Amino acid sequence: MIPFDYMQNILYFPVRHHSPGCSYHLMKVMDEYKPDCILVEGPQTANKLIPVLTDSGTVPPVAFYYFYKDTAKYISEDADDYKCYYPFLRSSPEYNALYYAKKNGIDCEFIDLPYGDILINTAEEKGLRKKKEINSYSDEHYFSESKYFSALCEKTGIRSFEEFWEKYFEIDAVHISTEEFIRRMYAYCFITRENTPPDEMLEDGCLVRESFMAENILKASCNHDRVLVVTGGFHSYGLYELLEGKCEPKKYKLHKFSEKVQDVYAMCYSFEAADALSGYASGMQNPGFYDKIWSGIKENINDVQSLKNVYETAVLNTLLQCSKACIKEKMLITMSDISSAVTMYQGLAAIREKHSPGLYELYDCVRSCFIKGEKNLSSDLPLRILSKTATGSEIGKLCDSAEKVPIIQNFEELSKKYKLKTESVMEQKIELDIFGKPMHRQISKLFYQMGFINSGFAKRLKGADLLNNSDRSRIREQWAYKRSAETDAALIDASVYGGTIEEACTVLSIRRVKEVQKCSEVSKLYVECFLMGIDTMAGFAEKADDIIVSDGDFFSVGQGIYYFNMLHSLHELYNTENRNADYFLRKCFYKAVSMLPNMINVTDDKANECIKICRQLYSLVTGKILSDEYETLKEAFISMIQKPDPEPSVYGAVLGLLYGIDNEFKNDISMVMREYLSGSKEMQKQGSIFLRGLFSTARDIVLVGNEFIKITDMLIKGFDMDEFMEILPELRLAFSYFSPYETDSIAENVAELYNSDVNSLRRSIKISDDIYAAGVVLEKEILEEMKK
Amino acid sequence: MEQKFIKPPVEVRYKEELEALAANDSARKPENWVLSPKAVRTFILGSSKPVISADGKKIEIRKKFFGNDALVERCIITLAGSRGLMLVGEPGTAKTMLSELLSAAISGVSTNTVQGTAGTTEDMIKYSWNYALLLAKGPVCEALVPSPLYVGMSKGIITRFEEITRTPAEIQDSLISVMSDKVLNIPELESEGLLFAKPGFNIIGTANIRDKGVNEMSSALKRRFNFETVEPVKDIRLEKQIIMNEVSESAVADNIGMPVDTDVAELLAMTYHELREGISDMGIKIEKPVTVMSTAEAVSVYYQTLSNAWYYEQNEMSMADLTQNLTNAVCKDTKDDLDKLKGYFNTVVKQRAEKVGGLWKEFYMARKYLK
Repeated sequence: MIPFDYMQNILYFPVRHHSPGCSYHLMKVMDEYKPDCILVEGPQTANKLIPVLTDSGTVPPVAFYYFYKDTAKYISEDADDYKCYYPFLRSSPEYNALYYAKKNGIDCEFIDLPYGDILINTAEEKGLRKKKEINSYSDEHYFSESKYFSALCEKTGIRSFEEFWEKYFEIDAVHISTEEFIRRMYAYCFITRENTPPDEMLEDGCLVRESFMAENILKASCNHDRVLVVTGGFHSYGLYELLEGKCEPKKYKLHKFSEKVQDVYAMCYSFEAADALSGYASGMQNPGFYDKIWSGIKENINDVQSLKNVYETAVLNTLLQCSKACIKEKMLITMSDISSAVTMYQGLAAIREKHSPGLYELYDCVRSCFIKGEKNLSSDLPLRILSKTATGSEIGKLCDSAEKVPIIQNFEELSKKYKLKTESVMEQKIELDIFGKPMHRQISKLFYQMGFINSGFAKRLKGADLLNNSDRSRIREQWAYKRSAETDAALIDASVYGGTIEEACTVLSIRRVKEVQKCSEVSKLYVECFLMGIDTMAGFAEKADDIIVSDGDFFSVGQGIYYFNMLHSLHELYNTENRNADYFLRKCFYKAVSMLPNMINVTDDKANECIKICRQLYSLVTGKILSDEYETLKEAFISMIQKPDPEPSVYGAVLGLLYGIDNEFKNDISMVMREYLSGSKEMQKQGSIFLRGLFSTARDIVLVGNEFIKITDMLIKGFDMDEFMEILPELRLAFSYFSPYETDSIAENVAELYNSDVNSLRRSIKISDDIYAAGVVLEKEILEEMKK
Repeated sequence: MEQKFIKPPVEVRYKEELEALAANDSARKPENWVLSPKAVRTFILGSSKPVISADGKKIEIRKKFFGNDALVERCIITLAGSRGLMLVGEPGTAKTMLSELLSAAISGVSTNTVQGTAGTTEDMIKYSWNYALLLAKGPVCEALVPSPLYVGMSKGIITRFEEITRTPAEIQDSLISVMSDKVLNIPELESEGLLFAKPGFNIIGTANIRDKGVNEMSSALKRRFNFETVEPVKDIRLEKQIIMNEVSESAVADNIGMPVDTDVAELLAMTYHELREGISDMGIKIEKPVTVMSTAEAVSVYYQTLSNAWYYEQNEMSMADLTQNLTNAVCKDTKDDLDKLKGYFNTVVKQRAEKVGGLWKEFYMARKYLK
């Protein structure tokens, strides 16, 4: 165990990011130890930002945004760009340590390796090189993902690490001495470290970082009498062992990079982004709630009794805040519910042997007392409101001397690179040859990205509209653009999602994919991402997979097939990497095929759409992409036609497609036609609808031999004039699928049937130019009348 | 001679555990509770250390409800307060078992129960009369036939109301005044006609969400309850444990001498879990059947297969029987569920049969029984 003695030259203070409990005891330790140097875990490159962070004009939450461009290929041949965030909240011990140092004129600095060197010393897919939505420097997976903690939770009957932490390190923090708090921290961190394989620590870059930090601590201890080392609890033990000579430091090489290659900016952050629940894993969850705890602690730091009530007060305040928000949402929350909730959290704290109720008792009491009925997506609004309340909505502020927001800087850099006239107050127009010039394709991507964050910066005037399937033959795009105050506001809004426009769009699109429910929506989003040049990652794919599996809407899946098929051809056209489109196209195909049999009974208003999807499925299996599914589709079509009460046009279309698959189905088609013929008048009328469907997919059936012409002729002959006029529109539609040449050929066959010739048939319908002209005028007038 | 029951009540089944816990219980408890809230928690969620009974015996307290410890804690605290407890959830998620455990641990009795049906009347909930005595002596206490609710109020014990939403809404509403004022008015008894609930009285209701909408509860009644949604067990390890525990107990009770096969239990737990969640452990997405894939159903499928093997003297579990029983259990509500089950076999079971072999291979071979 590390000795904790105020008389020592070096005092290690283990912390967890954003922990008010740690901050509370750190403040006490700083007052007691009176350090003349404070060293904080963090890449050294951010030392220049300490004055910005501790400036009185800066209000957390703020974050440091680190980036490194691997142009020299130290990390990999891919020469990728890397970035990560280091968020600071008011309750962050690191922030409080730096602020204390500034206030008391104490030397302070960050002691970790520069960001680029951390990456260079990290194995692929480990530590800060993990491919995540956003990487956080203060990733604390050692702390919360240790195998040890799950056993600990099971043993103590606590459901999660976060609840375990709150019980023993946050709620207890105001009830125990600093020595006891530190003892617990050391004990937990020691066991966590013991349970972490050394290889993992090496691959994560942890051991190299600790060697570098130890060296800096040693240097500082030579020049100062009392050095306080504030690092993540996991590292405290490693640093102690290194400085005590109990283990060998790892060798490393520091690289010198220009500011273009490696740098750090301060930026505004939000509680929402800082919430570990948002997937950034940068510290504790529900920062808004713990900010209340920290405010309570600071207010009552000298009043032991009030300090002990900090949790109960914060829980009650949050409960009341949540109740108000629920009432605002028109939910019936009564005083009885609130008082029952209070009884519940107090009782739960007692049964769980906690000094005070905490966040988990708060969630439990809202769940029990505010949700009336089964807990499901439609009834759990109170829990969602509580989660929002506990997360908080505050956005930080940077002092005036801080550098520009990275995303705006990124926008300006890109505008300069692409020679966009963003300084002009006039709207600019630009024509982009997206297939001919790579830079034009990049500009197009930027415009789409700017549209995605609702900046109002650029508007497409001409060009292919892939989302609405129009003008797809256009190979150029014409855009109008103008930078306005709106543009900057939208960029700043998006800055919490990323330091670059592309990164913000990536995060936003991943968020959006989490919200969408239908296959048509998710596939459309994929097309949007393609237009923006955004790489759709694993998390995206998983959700898309879920949506496709659970989407029960055939037409939405059909839309998905359309978009994914388009993406497939676009990837070929643009010669880009096709990551998921083919996979999802196949998935949608299976889904649509599984639903096909029931589609034979669609209502007539959906029939055309259904036929369109059937044709699309057919074209997929007859093309190269899904040629192996030929039989699958055939089986599905066969099951379709075997169902009773088919919709005639879909029935005809599917039989036509089956005829395309196997000529044997010609007999089935003849049989069905004869059935319609021999049926009642109503059935005969349906026969004409059947023909429309059939001709939409297999018009050649009429052109081979004259059997179908005979059947069609019999069908038409069966109607009297009134009935014929009634079905005429259907027949016209049915024959509209034929080209003029094919119509001529049919006419010849009909003439032959009546031992006549085409000209004699034509003669009977020939009209004079006057009548034609009168017809045109009449049609025009009718159209105008109808418009009225 | 010892009387044997098919299913003895919880307080009889766990008599030793309850007595041992009571003997060691020094924590604060609400008035009229047999055990303190902490001891009730221990009774339901188990204890890693045995408890020493009054006669010095070491009594193991087994975990009886799996999957959500926090829910049990919330239930206990609700019952210590002034609101009733309403357990809602899919069929087969152990709502009734939990309400029995809570009643037995809190009041020492789990049989004070109203069974809700479409034919439940207000008399059955409040009180009725012995008409012979009523005619002979008029409306006197002696002629009153108390309902479980009446008993609960007069003795200060828990009243269980099973399947409350099967009862017509206007009948359910007769609970409102009892739950608000904790008093039952019996006008026929005139001056003696007020029954004040003793401390310790409360109501545990259960409702099946598949019956939702049949008789929706009024919002006035809902406000008198705290709701807890009991969800299916999410952890395969726990589900396997439940299957093994339940099947073992039933087998002992029915004198079936075959041991429970751990591997079969695991296979069944995994199958149920994957069909319920719609995803396999290899990340393959599958379509979820409409029917309820509860752990209780899994237990039933296992037990049927075991009985089959025992009585037809096969002496080992047959995958063919298991598959047939599984098919019967899954394909109840709609024919589409059979296709979904087939889909599961053709993707997940097939892959696992190729990768793992053994039992999974036998399971896959039995797919011909999927009809």
